[in-house]
Formats: sequence, structure tokens, C-alpha cells
Amino acid sequence: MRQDDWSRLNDMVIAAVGEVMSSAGVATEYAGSMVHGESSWAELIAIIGLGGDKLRGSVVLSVPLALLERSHPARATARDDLADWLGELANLLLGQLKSRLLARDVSIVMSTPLTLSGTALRFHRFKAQPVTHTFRADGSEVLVMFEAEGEESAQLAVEADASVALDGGEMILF
Amino acid sequence: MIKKIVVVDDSRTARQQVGAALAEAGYAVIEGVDGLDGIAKVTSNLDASLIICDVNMPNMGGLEMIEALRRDHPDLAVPIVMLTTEGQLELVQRAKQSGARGWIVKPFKPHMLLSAVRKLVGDA
Repeated sequence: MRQDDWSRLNDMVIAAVGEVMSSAGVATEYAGSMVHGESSWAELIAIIGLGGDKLRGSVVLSVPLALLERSHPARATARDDLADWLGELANLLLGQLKSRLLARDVSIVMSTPLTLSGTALRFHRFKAQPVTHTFRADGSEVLVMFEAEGEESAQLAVEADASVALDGGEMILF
Repeated sequence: MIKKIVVVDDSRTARQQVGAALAEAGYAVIEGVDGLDGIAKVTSNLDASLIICDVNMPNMGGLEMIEALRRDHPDLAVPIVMLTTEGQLELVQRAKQSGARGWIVKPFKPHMLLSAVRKLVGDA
């Protein structure tokens, strides 16, 4: 995959994060991206995998506990509930990204999310160079790491075809 | 009589969100945590008025669940609506072919979900 496609792909990730967090009532402000996987991860992180002919990798979502509590639909505070909510946010994020990729002729399948808790979490192995995006949100930071390998010949279609996928919030009755 | 709705989603938060909207509208909610559990809940609640089902779940996904229900219970007439983060039209088509009556992409607005529910259970 060409460098400009990787850039567009990461732009899609950034846009998807904004939409998902906004749908959860959290206003985020993009604060920059770094090519590395070493970050100050929150105590809870969610990991969700993606696979396909053209692209394979994972997305890691890190949201501070206080922000998870404030955004939880039922205002839950128990760690298990917050972990479940974080997993659902990761699921929403990859769903958004999948629709954007489909519109650019890249099809992926999504795994179910995995959530982890711990302190001083570190990643030791990546498929490819991880890019970590930082967002400011309500006085704290949301981190999203996207790491994937793409087929060399794979390209994102120049024109987006919105007719291949429904967007978040859309409904069809048959 | 209160109508029963089976909600199948591996996320407890998602089940709570859907369940709260349905309960507020006067429906009884039965929860399933994956496709296998969903089949068990549906087959033990054959008087349910609607099934709301996620797609990507561990053990058995929602599309596999509705295909199994269609195969093993061909007389089952309960309408099914998929509620998922997936928006891929290929998957929507697969659900339709398996007898689903609707597809909603998360995040959902409760009023939108309820309008679909009321239409499908005949309360509109």
C-alpha cells in the first residue's frame, strides 16, 4: 500500500474516532499522531482485530476510567461494565472504519473486541508500524493505536462509493 | 398482554441500552449473550414478538444464528431485526435472504429503534 493511502487510512481512523466518541456524548479534539506503540495507556484498553485480503491488523482503544464512567449509557461504574462499554466503543470504531474502507473498495472482517486492564501496559510485538493517535477529551486523553499490514498492490479507491455500506444510525426495513 | 422481545448481543452495555428503551415502551425483554444462547432463548420463548440480534458475537454470530433458526425451525414466524456496527450491504442482503426484516447500524437512537420495533410487532 502506498504511503498516501496509509495517510488516508489514518485520516479515516481519526474521523471515525471523532464520530464514535461524539455518539457516546464525548467531544474529542484531535491532538496529533506518532509512529510508535509506546504510550501512557489508560487502565482499561480494548483491542479489536481486522482481517482481509488487502489489510490485516488491529485497533487499540484507550479511554480513561473517568471518561468511560461519564459516557456509559447507564452511568455504570463497575469495572466489568466499563470494560464492556469500552469493548463496545472499539466495536463501533472498527464498524465505522470498515464502512469507510468498503467505500474505498477495501473489505475487512472484524473480530470481537478484547478488553484488558492493568497498569503500565506495553505492547511488544506488532504486525507493522503502529500509529498512535491522541485526542483530548474533557481534560483527559483518548488514545487510538492503529497497526496493520497491507498488500503491496492494495490501493484505496480514489472516489468513495457510499452505496456499498450503511452508516451508523441508518436503518433499513425489508 | 405484554409483548416479549428477545435481544441477543454479546455486549452487556448494548443489551442494557436496547432493553432500557424497550422496557420504557412497555415490552418485556429476554436477553441472549451470543448466537447459541440466542437460539436457546428464542426456542424457549416461541411466543416472542420480535428478535433483535447483533452480528459479530463469539461462539455463534447473529447471521449464523438466524440461518440456523430458519433451517431448524422453518415455521418460526417471529420477525428479526439485526442491530450491529456492521453496515456492509452484502451482509444486509444475507440477513434478508435468511428472513430478517430489518437492519439497524449502531449507534442507534432509541426513538428510531422503537419505530422499527412497533412496525414489526404490529404496534405502529
